[in-house]
Amino acid sequence: METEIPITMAYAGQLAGVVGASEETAPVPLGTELTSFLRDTALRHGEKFQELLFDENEQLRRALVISIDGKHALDPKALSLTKPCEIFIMTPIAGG
Amino acid sequence: MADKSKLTDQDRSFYEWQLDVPGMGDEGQTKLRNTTALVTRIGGLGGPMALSLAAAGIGKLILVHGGNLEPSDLNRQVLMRHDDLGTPRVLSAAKTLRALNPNIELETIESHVTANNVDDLVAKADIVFDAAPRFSERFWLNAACVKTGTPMIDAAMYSMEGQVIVIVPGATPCLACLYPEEPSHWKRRFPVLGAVSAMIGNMAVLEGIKLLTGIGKLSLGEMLYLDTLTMGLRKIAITRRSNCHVCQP
Repeated sequence: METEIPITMAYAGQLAGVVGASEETAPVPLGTELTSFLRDTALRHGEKFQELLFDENEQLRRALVISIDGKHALDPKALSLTKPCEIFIMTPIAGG
Repeated sequence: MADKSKLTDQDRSFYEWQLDVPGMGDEGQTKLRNTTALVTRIGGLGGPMALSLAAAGIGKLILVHGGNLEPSDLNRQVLMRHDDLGTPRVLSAAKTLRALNPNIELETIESHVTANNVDDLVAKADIVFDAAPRFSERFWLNAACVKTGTPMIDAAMYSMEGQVIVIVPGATPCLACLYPEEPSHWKRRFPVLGAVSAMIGNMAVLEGIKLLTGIGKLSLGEMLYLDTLTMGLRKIAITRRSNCHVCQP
């Protein structure tokens, strides 16, 4: 039987508005690649969310701020989910 | 020329309440008075920044902002007045600041930061407060600050949230470590409440005053993120990119 771990997503910037919540928790198979998890999450939340996370080549946008348990993930593509954690994800914001 | 190394009786009467803040005293106040701060721009975030810096007795403020005041600015741009609609925002801001504290020096630049003027602007300042809405401006400022070793406090906001990053060249990651490229889908027009921009602007000023005076603990290498819907404050440890094109040799 596949082991699942709880992953909490915290959304900031435009993402919270698109999801309609600033946080959600989902069970995820142990060892899932972060990018693949984010792709599944994007599919669940629709086109706008997908567009905010992924570029036209379906690559994670580099200007997203992603942190895992409070630490900035410089290279999200290299990461897998191996323990319960909180993923904070934020679209870029500026002044005005 | 007045001796700026000592506080006058007038200074003491103005800043009496903050001189008693532990660690501030004459020494901290004198450091503020001997500081030139560049604030760009002076809208929703930069306006409250300039206001609090002026109230705190910063020596000189350089205000950088192009364009005239529009009705839609007034929900958050606290230095502006209704009577000034249609006139240059930077002049309206300077008028308010002069009325608040006539003892500080003000320089107004009626233009935004550009690739051409950024080096000259940053060269005039001891510290930069960045409240620019365009990523290109923020990146130019970041690069100029890294090049000259000038500390920069970067602030940003969206809706009911905001973030502050303290950049001390050589000691912390820079803005390009956080944002390695300009976001193509960023839109200049976004939702925000004035109270949020004032709060985030003042968080930035507090970090700047701590940096200048040495009081408290600075948030170095962290992004401060505040969600005012829950009043939740997060500190996200930012990592320096080994291949950062701005802060790595």
